[in-house]
Order: sequence, then C-alpha cells, then structure tokens
Amino acid sequence: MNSTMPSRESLGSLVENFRHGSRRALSRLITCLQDGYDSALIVPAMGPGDGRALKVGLTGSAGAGKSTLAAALIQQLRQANQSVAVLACDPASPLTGGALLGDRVRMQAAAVDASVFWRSLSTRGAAGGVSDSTAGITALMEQFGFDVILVETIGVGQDQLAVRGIVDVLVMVVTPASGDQIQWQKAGLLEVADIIIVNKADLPGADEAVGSLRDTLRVASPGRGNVVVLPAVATTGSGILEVWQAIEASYEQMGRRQTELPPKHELLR
Amino acid sequence: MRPPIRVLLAKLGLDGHDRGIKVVASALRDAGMEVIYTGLWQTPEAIAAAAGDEDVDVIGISLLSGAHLTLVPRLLAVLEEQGFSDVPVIVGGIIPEEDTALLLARGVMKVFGPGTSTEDIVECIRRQAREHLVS
Repeated sequence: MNSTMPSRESLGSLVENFRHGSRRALSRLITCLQDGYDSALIVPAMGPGDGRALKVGLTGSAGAGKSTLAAALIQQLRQANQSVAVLACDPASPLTGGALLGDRVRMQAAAVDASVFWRSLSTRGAAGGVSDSTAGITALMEQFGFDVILVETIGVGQDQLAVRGIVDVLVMVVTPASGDQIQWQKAGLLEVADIIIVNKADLPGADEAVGSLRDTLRVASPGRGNVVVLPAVATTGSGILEVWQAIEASYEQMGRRQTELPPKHELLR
Repeated sequence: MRPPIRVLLAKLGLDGHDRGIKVVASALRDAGMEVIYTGLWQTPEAIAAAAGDEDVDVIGISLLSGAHLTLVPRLLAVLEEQGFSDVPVIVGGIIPEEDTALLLARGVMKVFGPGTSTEDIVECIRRQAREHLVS
C-alpha cells in the first residue's frame, strides 16, 4: 500500500477508478500526493468535478478543540444530508519523522458513514501548520464530490497561516482564558480568520473572552468589525448550529466580495 | 527517502484498557512511523473504514477483554469483504497461547502477548513493510 509509489499504469487505473467514485482510489491518490507526487500531474487528470465544495479551515492552539469541533460539524452537516471530507493534520517529530495522528479519537459517532471521509496527515516537517500536500489533497477531495471539506491544522498559535490560501472560510478556535485584548491585537491568525469560536464556553471566562474579542475586532482592527465571534461547546454540540450558519454566511459574503473587490487576503508570504 | 510506514492502532470491542496500545503508539512514533490512533470501543466496520480512508500499511489491534476469538475473525471478514485483505493485521493483548494458534490460522500476521518488547513490534512491522515493497 502506501510504501510503494504506483507505476504509471497503475496510476492510470487509480485515476480511472477515482473517476468512477472509488473511495479507495481517492485514499490511495491522497497517499501519492502526500508522498511527493506532483499534484499538477494528478489533479488536472481528474477533469472537472461535479460541483464545488465549501472548504472550511479549522485552526487554533493545541487542545482548543479543533478535532472535536470538526466531529460536531460533521454531525450537523449529516443532519442536513451533506457529505463531508476531513483532512486532519498533526505534527511530525523533528527527531524521528514519526507522528501520532490522534484526531480520529474525537469523531467516534461518525465512524462508519459512507458520506464521511476522514484522513489524518502528518505535516512531515512543513512549517505552515498543514502538510505541503494539503492544497492538492483538498482539490482532489473537491473533485471527488464532497459538499464540505474541513481542513484542520496542527495546533498553532499565531502566525502559521498556510491554511488561509487553501480554504474559503477560516475558523479560529480559542478557549476561555487564552488571552486578553493585547493578545488579540497581535498580528497573525486573528487578522485573517473569518470566524472566531470561543470553544469550551461552559468554562469560566467564556463571556469575557467573547466580549474582549468582539471589542478588539471592532475598536482596534479596522475593517474587521464584521468578524463573527461565537461561543460553543463542541463536546455537547451547544452552539454548533450557529457556528455552521456563520460559516455559510461568511461563504456567501465572500462570494459577493469576490465579484466586487480584489482578493480579500493577499498574504505577503 | 522512503515515506514513513503508516499504522492504524485500534481498540476492538468493549474494552477500556488502553495503556498498552498507547505505549505501542509512542514506540512506533519514536521509530519514525505515522501512527493513526482511533481510540476505544471500535467495531470491525469502523476499523475497516478507517484503514481504507487512512491507506495504512498495517493494522494493530489491542484486546484485553477475552473477546478476541469472536471479534478478530469478524474484523478479518469485514476487511476481506471490503477489499482490504492485503493489509496485515497484528494483534496484541491478553491472548492465551492456544488462541494465538487459532488467530494465526485465521490470517492474523502476528500475536504479541504480555512482556513483548516494543523493539520486536517495530521490527515486525518494518519487516512486513519491506516485504510489501518487494512484492
């Protein structure tokens, strides 16, 4: 399986099977991309997909609840009969190259569902919070025909922004007591996130965190006053419907802006 | 450079004893492998689905519940049904010797009992991945 690169002929049959909707071919091609196959050689060969996926990034520090939020969003989306693919990144060891990919632990309830695909990825040393192959894999998943793709970064704090260029809507997950206004005013993720979720909002300090984030965005971040800040408890599902509605609203807004204005996020790096 | 070996580790059935599998997960990570840990209470169907989505080289199952003769053959059957019979399955936990022979006869690649060194598990998986590469 993954330890061998496919020959040209078997790559051809993988592409063929992918076109016929083989989930195994999708999985195998993801391995090819992760192992260094050039996505420019694979992705265009698939031809145009059936539709366009809504691509959502989930980022934030380690332990903030990104995977649990992904699992809660899956449940929400399945109720609406939407198919979902998840790409969950975890870090590789700088010493051995090994990785413990543990995000699946959070998605127990959705474990067997033909409309949910979940792939765990090691960053394999990439510095931006996601694996280098993430953009190519996301494109592949989109061509496969999923309605929604959730891209979860490794635990990141401030300036690992690579996911911004890959997704339509970027959600940053924070927890109560993870910072004050000065913390929120620092450069980085808060400048580019579309939605900020104060997860674990059943803990003390949640209201204060929501208030200080809203205040900072309104007062100290010109043009960012419309960023949505919402409390949620991903483990119970509390607030998840509102989170999804905010994601959809942000996506619609983005569509409108794109027709009127130059690209929203021109990152310097 | 060869990409890391990918291993799915799962607790099969109603068994909450996960210290052993967590020790193995860390050892495989330290040996440079990518370890996908699914957590507790997995069904054969969930493990097969995860192995497929994750495109793993090896599946490692831990059972300390005594249900191995019921659940492991069921897992092997589901893997075969879904076209994953080429993915080797390793079993660890409390498995009596006479049951080990039965599991091996059903197609389990290797059974590791109490007292196994993590080096032996690492070596077994590496050897398997190398053979797969040649075949």
